[in-house]
Amino acid sequence: MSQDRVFSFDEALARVDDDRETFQMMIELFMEHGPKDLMEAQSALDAGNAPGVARSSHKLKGAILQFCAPAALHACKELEESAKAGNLANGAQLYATLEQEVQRLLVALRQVYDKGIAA
Amino acid sequence: MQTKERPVPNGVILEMTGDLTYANREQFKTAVEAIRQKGCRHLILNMAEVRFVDSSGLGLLALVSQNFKLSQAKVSMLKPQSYVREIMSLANIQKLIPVYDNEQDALTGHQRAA
Amino acid sequence: MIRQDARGPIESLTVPLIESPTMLTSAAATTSGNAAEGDVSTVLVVDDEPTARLALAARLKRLGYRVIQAGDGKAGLEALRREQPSLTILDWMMPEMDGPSFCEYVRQDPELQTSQILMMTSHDQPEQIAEGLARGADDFLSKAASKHEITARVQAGIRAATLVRRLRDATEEIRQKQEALEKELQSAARYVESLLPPPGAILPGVQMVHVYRPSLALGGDLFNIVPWSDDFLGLYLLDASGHGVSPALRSSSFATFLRRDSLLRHVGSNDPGAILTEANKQFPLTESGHYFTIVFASLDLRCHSLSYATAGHGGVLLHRRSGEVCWMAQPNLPLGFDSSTTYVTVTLPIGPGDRLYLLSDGLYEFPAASGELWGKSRLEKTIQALGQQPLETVITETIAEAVRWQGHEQFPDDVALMGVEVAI
Repeated sequence: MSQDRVFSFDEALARVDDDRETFQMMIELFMEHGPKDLMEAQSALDAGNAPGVARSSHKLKGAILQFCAPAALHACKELEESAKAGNLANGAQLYATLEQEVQRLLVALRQVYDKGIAA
Repeated sequence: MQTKERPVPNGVILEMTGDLTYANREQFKTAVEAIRQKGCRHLILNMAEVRFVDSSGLGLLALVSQNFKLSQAKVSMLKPQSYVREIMSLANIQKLIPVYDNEQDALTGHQRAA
Repeated sequence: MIRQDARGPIESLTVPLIESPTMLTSAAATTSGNAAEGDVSTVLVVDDEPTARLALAARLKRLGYRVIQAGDGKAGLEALRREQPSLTILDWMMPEMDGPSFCEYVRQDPELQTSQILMMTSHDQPEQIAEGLARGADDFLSKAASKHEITARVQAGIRAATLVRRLRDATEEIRQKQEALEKELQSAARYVESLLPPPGAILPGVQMVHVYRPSLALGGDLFNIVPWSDDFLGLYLLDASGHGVSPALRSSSFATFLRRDSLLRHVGSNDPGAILTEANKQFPLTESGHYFTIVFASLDLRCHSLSYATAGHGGVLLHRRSGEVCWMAQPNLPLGFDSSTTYVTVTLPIGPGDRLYLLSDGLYEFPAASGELWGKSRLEKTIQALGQQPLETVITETIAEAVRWQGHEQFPDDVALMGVEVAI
């Protein structure tokens, strides 16, 4: 999948007013913390801890928002909202979708990162 | 303090409402000065609705009386009420500003209040 | 592609939209530079999500602010206390201490109470606003807000913080000036007291006791004795109309006129009526309508007589040894009202054990909590009831009784009480 559909590089960069240095750091941070937050969400889900799932998905959402990645954002919000409502019935499914989208986003970001962002 | 002018034969009656104090002096001073500038010969201060006069208020009355005297005009006082009346008489104000119980007497200058 | 163009939950602000980074910086320069201390406002960002936190911090730096970051509520509070930023931007959901809890801590801390807090919310949860406001947030910002929205809300928050700080500084300045003024008034009161004679025996056979309680708003009460000769003693109580430093100054200039040498020069006698008649000419009504009232008494120890004159002042009381009490003032114009006034001296005999009191109207014209004035009548009864107890006791007890009536120590107007007793 091309990076244009997973996330919009142009929009995300415009969001930080073309500050490429900051954008690079943001990708680094997400590559480090994104997977950790996913794992936290999974643990909370396994434990049936709805508030825990809500917190982790909320955190992920904050990061995803920065990259203008609609699919990942949508999946994240779905999980967060269910968890906030205390409903984990579809949790596993929603998490699976989220995990998939986050992985896609990480790959797309990696591609951009490796190419080199600093102009 | 609120004031309102009413012309009478040979003079002006100034209806006063409220307290004559340091804090309220400006309204009174402005009104009286305007009347004096117009060449009024006799200013009658209607004190019926004046609830309270403090030491500054007393000084103001004296000042008005002196200023009018300089303009060859005179000042009278009408119907001061209980507490205010007491303050006026302790200071012997009637020696400076004649006090009357009704408008007619004030206009004719007869029968000053006791 | 879904645009995350979130509207803020509060009504939109009238801030010009910033289009380009260069405009961002210059706009920030004009709005962020008003901090009381330095040139740059500080913003604290508290969010446990590092990517979002970095993006926001970078934006704020681009706008020209100095940025402090904290990864959780506890660190955020520490940073807030240490740095005292103009604005704190805070995520709602955080581990251990969430946004609203952070706000509650801040609002309870007197040092931090006025801090501006901008809380980040999920844009699809308007009910957060009510809770956020209740728990202490000042304004809200959606996590998905556009950069324009972010800029606008941050600038509004900084402006609000600046205004609050200015107001607090102005209030503090006023309080300090007020304090300084009160100190000056106190020292002016002490100056007035320094003019007074020491209590106790003035002349053989005459005892004088006085008490002076200046009001906070420093009136113009002054009293003193004029030792005329071995046989003659003058005493007076003077009240200048108005409040503040001006009447106090006018009183002390009048006191100079009432010194023995000055009276000899200007009046030529110690006759109270003559003194007031001359004073009336020398001290006319001021331009603002200010004047003096006075009671002046003269004791002739050889002839055992008391002479006195009053001008618009009612505070002179004679307490005979027999127990009879009488108020002695006649209605008379205050000084300066009419330059042609002649003040008349009244003379009466005085004997051993008789006591003369000069007192300010502040001693009987103060109200109790109910609003009722103590009044001359109650004052008279108090003095009468104390009978022939030592003069000092009568003075002290009279004041104590007045304080009891009022319910507290501080009289609204100057209170002066001077008692003189002739022994022989």
